[in-house]
Amino acid sequence: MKRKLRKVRVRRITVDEKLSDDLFRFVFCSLKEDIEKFTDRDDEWQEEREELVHPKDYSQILDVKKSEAPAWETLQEGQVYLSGEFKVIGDQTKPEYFKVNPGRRKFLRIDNLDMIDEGVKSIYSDVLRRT
Amino acid sequence: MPTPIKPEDLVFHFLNVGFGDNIVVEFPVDKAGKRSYGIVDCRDFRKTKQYLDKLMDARPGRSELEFVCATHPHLDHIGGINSLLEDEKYRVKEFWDSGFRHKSQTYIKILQSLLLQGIELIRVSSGMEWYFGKVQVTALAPSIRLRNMYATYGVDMNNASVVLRFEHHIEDVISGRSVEYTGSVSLEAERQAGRSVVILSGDAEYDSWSRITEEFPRLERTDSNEPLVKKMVNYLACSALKVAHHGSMHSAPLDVYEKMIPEIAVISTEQEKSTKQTGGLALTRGLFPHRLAITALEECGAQILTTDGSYESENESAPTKPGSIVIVVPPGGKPRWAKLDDTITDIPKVLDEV
Repeated sequence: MKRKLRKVRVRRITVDEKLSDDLFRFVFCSLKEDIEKFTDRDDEWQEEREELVHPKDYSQILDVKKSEAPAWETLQEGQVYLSGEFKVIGDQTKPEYFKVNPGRRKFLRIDNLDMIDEGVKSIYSDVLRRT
Repeated sequence: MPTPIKPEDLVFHFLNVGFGDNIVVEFPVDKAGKRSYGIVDCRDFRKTKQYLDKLMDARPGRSELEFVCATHPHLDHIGGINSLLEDEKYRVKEFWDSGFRHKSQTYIKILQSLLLQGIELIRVSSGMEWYFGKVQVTALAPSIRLRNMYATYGVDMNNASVVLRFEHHIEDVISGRSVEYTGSVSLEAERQAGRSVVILSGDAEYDSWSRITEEFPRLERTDSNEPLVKKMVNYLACSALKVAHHGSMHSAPLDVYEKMIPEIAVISTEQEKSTKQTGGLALTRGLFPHRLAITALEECGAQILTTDGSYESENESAPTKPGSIVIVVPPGGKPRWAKLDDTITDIPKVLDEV
């Protein structure tokens, strides 16, 4: 089935689980329609859905050309990608925030950015502290 | 012959939610005559809630859940947890977590809900114990060593799984007497040690099992009569096992199944066939369950039950239909099971006898 992804402005894709050599589960969510600037807070995203992907079709769910997709062999659980019409504000390696950028497509791995990595750690610490 | 479920029975409900885990643990009645509940993984909130509703109608229980355990943060184990945490009817006392910080929004939203609801987060590691009446719950995994490695290297999410051992004692746990074995230990004696034990193993794989077998060894009496080995308890022996990782080829090595010697093996799954080219051959096989796990379990004499009915259909072993699986564990007694006829979307009926 041909996937129709282009209507969504920005998509967040997480490599959730490697199920076999040729099968991954991706989970993905779309940026809420009224959001222009975003920093990957949980209230900026719609509910996550899942998709099982194979080497032949995973670039479609990442919404990039095959030549721009990360190599299948380099996919690892926990990687997070942004895909769609957005741009990085600030240093590319230490963004201040992201902004919707109509008509200009970008694909970026973000799980290794402090904003994301430290963000999850910070929430986890908050929960532990509170309890 | 079905036997009525008694108030003192411990009951496990493995809901058929397709590829994923969704387990309701129904603890025996307390002094007030009420049951209490725990949830181990929740892929499907709607099915969990509606089944709990039916369960409460059938057997009065406390709507405050003792715990919700996310064995690890893959979507097929946590997809319904956030809705459960936000639910107004079923309040949650504790959230048991592997400590593996996933970056999916589903997991991040769970953390936010814990903050907002003020629910206590317990980072589980091996050796932790909880008591619910005569039911002793022990965490077999993740080991401290694995947990300390999460943030650095070398541990994937499956191996971060919380593995739980439930033992339903016939008497109070603290005053219980240990069995002392003499001479060689028979298979029957080992089975007796795990008679009223159920192990829920999340998606644990080799790294996790290697720690578990190291930390919970089988102790046998020796000629030297050293005090420490007087009591032989095969802590991994169990009557019923929720097979790890949907029965994949990495679910557990044969050696581990040989230590557990389960009589009942539950596989929560939706079979996925896959073909890969290897050694010039096209190798087509089912992945969940995989024949490696199936063969190992069969070798150990386990009766295999799958929620999608795939194993039973292929092997002409009743019941061949898909459905949720119920296991009843009397105190100190041998578990018995029943399979319900629900599809993934049905809400199954609650049995009053198994």
